[in-house]
Amino acid sequence: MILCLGSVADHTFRYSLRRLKEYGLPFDVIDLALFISSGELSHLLNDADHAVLTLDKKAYAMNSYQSILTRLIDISEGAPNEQLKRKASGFYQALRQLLSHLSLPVLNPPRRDDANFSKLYHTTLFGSLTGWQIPRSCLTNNAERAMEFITSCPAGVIFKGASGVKTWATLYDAARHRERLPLLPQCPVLFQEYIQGPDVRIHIVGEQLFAELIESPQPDYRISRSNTFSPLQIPDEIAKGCLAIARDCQTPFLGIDFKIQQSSGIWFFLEANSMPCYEGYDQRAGGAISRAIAQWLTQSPSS
Amino acid sequence: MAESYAAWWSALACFSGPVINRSSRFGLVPDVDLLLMVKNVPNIEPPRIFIGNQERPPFLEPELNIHEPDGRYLGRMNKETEPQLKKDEIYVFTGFDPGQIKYLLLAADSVFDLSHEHGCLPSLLQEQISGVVRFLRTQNITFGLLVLQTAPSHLRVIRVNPFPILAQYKHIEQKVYAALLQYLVPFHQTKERRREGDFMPGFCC
Repeated sequence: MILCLGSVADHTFRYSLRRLKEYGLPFDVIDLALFISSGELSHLLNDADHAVLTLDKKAYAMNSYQSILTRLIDISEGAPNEQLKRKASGFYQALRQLLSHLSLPVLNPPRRDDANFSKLYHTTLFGSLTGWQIPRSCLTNNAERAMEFITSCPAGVIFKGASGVKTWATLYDAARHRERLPLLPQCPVLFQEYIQGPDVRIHIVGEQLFAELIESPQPDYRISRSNTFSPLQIPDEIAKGCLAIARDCQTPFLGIDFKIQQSSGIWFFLEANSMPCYEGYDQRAGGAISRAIAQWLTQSPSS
Repeated sequence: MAESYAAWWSALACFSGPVINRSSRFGLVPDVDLLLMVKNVPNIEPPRIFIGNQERPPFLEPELNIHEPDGRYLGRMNKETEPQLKKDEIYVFTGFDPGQIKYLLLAADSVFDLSHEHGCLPSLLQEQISGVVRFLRTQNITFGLLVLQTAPSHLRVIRVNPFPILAQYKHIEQKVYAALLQYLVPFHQTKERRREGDFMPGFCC
């Protein structure tokens, strides 16, 4: 039996549940919002395996599950009042503690890759672990410094948020954006040299890798409806690096993003996401990613 | 707010010089996993911590400290007193014996015993905590309050707080600043590089 813990408002979580059902795997579901509003949680820090979550009089004993599938999202910001916000934040913190200390397989355990919240550091960290190139970057809230960096990148510059909060990578266009640079002191922004060429997304599940090449007319392919997707053979050096990252952050499921520079063929590492929205990639791969997730969740810990 | 937070995180993690409590994958401010410490440091017992929103801790301890899950201290629970707790909210209960508690301050390469007028650390304790200090270094903690429960038979780390407040070390303030400043002096200005895990038992001993 698998325990699935996440928000039913999260499309990717719902997709994962559908796939598990299609594969005929037995699972229980706890919706985060419901659990926060009326659930009970108690555990000893050093005995997480005997923790019991209770919701609607049903007890979910951790030691009765083979594995856990979780997309733990802090939903406290969406709470309608301060009291609920504090309560939701408390549950989120407590679940983070619990899920990170369980001895049963958890996909993905929290607290293993918190650096993902800070994009530039995260990229630097894994760039140096793998030896991969990362785009020249400038994280600043200084308009002059930003302008200097922009001028130093003849191939163009993209800009995006500095944090893990979702933003779109946007190509800097002096005509549209120059007048907004003086706003930088109010909010730092991450500028990166534009790498012209296709994107690559590699999903890693345990030891299995699934790659897709994405050619897009937009600098951020997620906003385009005219993308071309094709499966891709992963170079050995890249595959080894992906596995090294997964091992390093002890996270079985990652979505790793690259750009391949068209002029040189060099792979530039962008990000390793421990809570990837993988639905589209999975559908195009005929369900290979979700099958690998199901396999990982049902394999015995010793196998 | 999130963008500033993330920007500071990157800046402090990537800064090439020494940083007190350098940001890392463990957080903008190091977030110490006490169970990871227990796994990695020999002869350390896990803290008695209970996390819950309904029940009270199943263990008996002379005193319980109560925190919110984000670390905010709420009060102490014992036979005489109990803070007013809201039903349904999550609390963290930490059991301890006040008679065996030691408050130490890690300040860069020095460790001070805050119960001592000059901060001197007894040599036995210095030996006991060397593994803890080495572990904290791996988690980037270079300035923190260590709450320990010491007994002849065991050592238990109750809490590591990376935000010590002045009131806790006011009596040895100058020594603490001296230790932190010595750490912050760039390597090329010191005669020799520090070795990982080196620390001194307070300056006065």
